[in-house]
Formats: sequence, C-alpha cells, structure tokens
Amino acid sequence: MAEIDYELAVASIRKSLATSPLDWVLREVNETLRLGKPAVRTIEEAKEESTDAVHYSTLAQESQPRKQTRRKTKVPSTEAYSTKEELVLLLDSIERTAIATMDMQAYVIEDIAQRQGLSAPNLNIVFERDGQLSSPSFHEKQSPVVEQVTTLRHAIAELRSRAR
Amino acid sequence: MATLPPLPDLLNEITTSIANLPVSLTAQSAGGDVFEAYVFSLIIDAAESEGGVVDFRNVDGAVPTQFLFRTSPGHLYSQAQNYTYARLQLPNVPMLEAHLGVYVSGKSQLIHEADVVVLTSAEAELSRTNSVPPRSHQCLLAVECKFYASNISLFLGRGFVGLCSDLSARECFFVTNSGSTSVQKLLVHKRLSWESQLRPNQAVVVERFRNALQEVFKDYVAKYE
Repeated sequence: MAEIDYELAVASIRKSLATSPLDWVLREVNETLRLGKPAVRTIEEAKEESTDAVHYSTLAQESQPRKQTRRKTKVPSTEAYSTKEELVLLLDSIERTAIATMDMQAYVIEDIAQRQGLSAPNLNIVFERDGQLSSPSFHEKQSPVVEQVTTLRHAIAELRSRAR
Repeated sequence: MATLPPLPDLLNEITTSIANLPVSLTAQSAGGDVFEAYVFSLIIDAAESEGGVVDFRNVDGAVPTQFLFRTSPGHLYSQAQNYTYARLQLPNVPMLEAHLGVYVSGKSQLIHEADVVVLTSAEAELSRTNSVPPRSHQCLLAVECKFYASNISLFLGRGFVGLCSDLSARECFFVTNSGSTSVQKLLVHKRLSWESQLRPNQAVVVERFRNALQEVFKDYVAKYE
C-alpha cells in the first residue's frame, strides 16, 4: 500500500468510528496518538570532570576552566506514529473491542451452558451495572450479528495483510 | 487465483459492518462486563483442569435458571439482586467460591473492589452471615480486569501496584484485553502478575493465563496434602 492508501484507509475508518457507537474507541486511539510511541533515544550528555580528578595539565595550568567531556546515554522518549502505524492502531482497537466482545460472549455462554447441561440459546445471562440490568442473554438473536462480525473480521484481516 | 477487492470496496465493507454492529458489541461498558465474565469463565476452567467440580449458585442458595453477574462493585452479602457465583470443589480441600465485582478488605482495613475474586467458601459464608466484606487474606485470587480499545494508561498500572500492596490475597493478577509497554514494564519491575492481549483469539495468551491460574489452584491443594 502506498502512503496515499494508508491516508485513505485511516480517514475512512476514523469517519466510520466517529459516527458510530464505537466513537469511544476513536477517543482512546487519539489519546494513544497524542502520547506518542514509546522509544529510546541516545543523547549526548555534557559531563564536567569530577573535582577529585587530578591531571598533570590541571596542576600545571590551574587558571584554566575545568575540562568538560561528553558521553552518550540512552533515555526513554516518545515519537510520533506514522500513518501506517495509526492504521494498525485503529484495526487493533476494533478487533479487541467489538470483535473480541462477540468472541468472549460466545465463549462465556457456551462454557456455562455446557456445565449446566443446557444448549447455549436457552441460557439466560444478565449483567448488573450500577443497579441497572442489561438486556437478558445475547445468544438468541445472534445469527445476523455473527455474520456482520465475520464480515468485519475478514475485511480487517485483509486490510491488515495489505498494510504489511 | 482470486482477485483482491479494490481498497475502496474493502473500506466500504468495514465501515458498513461497523455501522451495523449492535450496541451489545459496541458499548464500552458491555465489553467490560463481558471481559470480566470471560475471566471468570477462565478461572472456572482452570479449577476444573485441576480436578475441581464446579457448580453455580444464586445468592438465595438456589441453582440459577438465570445467571446474573454483578459488574459494578457491591458487597458479597448484598441481596439487592439474586447474583450468581460459582462453587469450586477441588479434591480433598475446603470449598472455594468465585465471585464477580465484590468488595474485599485489605491489610489497612480499607475496602477495595475486586473485579473477580476466588475465596474460601468459609470466608464467603462469614461475610454473608455477618454482613462484612471478606478479608483479602482469605482470598486465593484477585483479578483486576481492564477492558480498553487502545493502549492502557500508566495510572492503571500504578493503581494496581497500590492495590496489591494492601491486598494479601495469595495471587493478584492484572489482566487486560489491550496492552501497554509502560504498564508491563512497571508490573514486571514490581514483580506482579499480569497478562495483556487476553481475548479468545489469542490462544497462547489464554493458555498461559489459564496455566498461571492452575498453578494457584495446584498450590492451594498442595497446602492440604
């Protein structure tokens, strides 16, 4: 993919996320971009010679200023993400939220149903958050959702392989 | 050889799919809830792999017909809802219970929330009888779950370090569906247990986490041998 393709892909996915209930995902990616990519930089550090260092030259010319040396040192830093890396961040974030959520839902329902000797569609799971109950279960009406997520999963995998 | 779809078509497929996703897959809270339930399931799997027998109970003592999991923290003894928990019976040792989103008390006598906790059934019973939070030293496992879209912030790692210093659970885990180099470095430096990128399609990560959980159950059994 050429740089222009990365830009097109990033702009398109950004717009899609911004206008969907996954806008929170975009906010998190923006925060990651703002913080920058962790990196290590080598810098040159000026170091004054220690006071107990005695040189013949110093003894000979006491009036001269103390000699400075420079040494290389590694420091943690950050650098900007490239457009290609931004695309990868966006694809990763979709995979680890919407797609992973469906995979985890399926795992939990099947796991518990198996233990209870029930078939997954007959299992009813509800989450309580701050006193509010979620809509019961997420398995019974799932077929069109599974199809939707499968399409998304394949499209992301395809785009990811092109972006390599 | 199949021809690849043009880039605009591929992008269109992605944007259309995103637009049609149901709220159960897009809300941050929904993802967080499911992530905790997923970790709860992995814990149960690990107990079973160590020879444990697992069953479920509701707060009223009945076998659940509907599973109700608490995802914002509450007291283990609360009867506000008929919450579900798991009972784990490992061979020849006192029974354990696994709960989601309950408070536990730390060394400082402060009360902390544990996203997923495994504790002795005796301590859970004590909590229910006396309406007090279970004590962390009676907890075998406490897991802090973080569900995020992008890299997690360092403050979450710092919070976990603080939490661990006050909990005396045998093992505390920090698990996330995401990751962060800085958080990982911090937790490694502090010698705390963590797992990142934990989600079903990451087979190696899932297996490693399950194995780490099994170790905890193995040690618990060994204590009584």
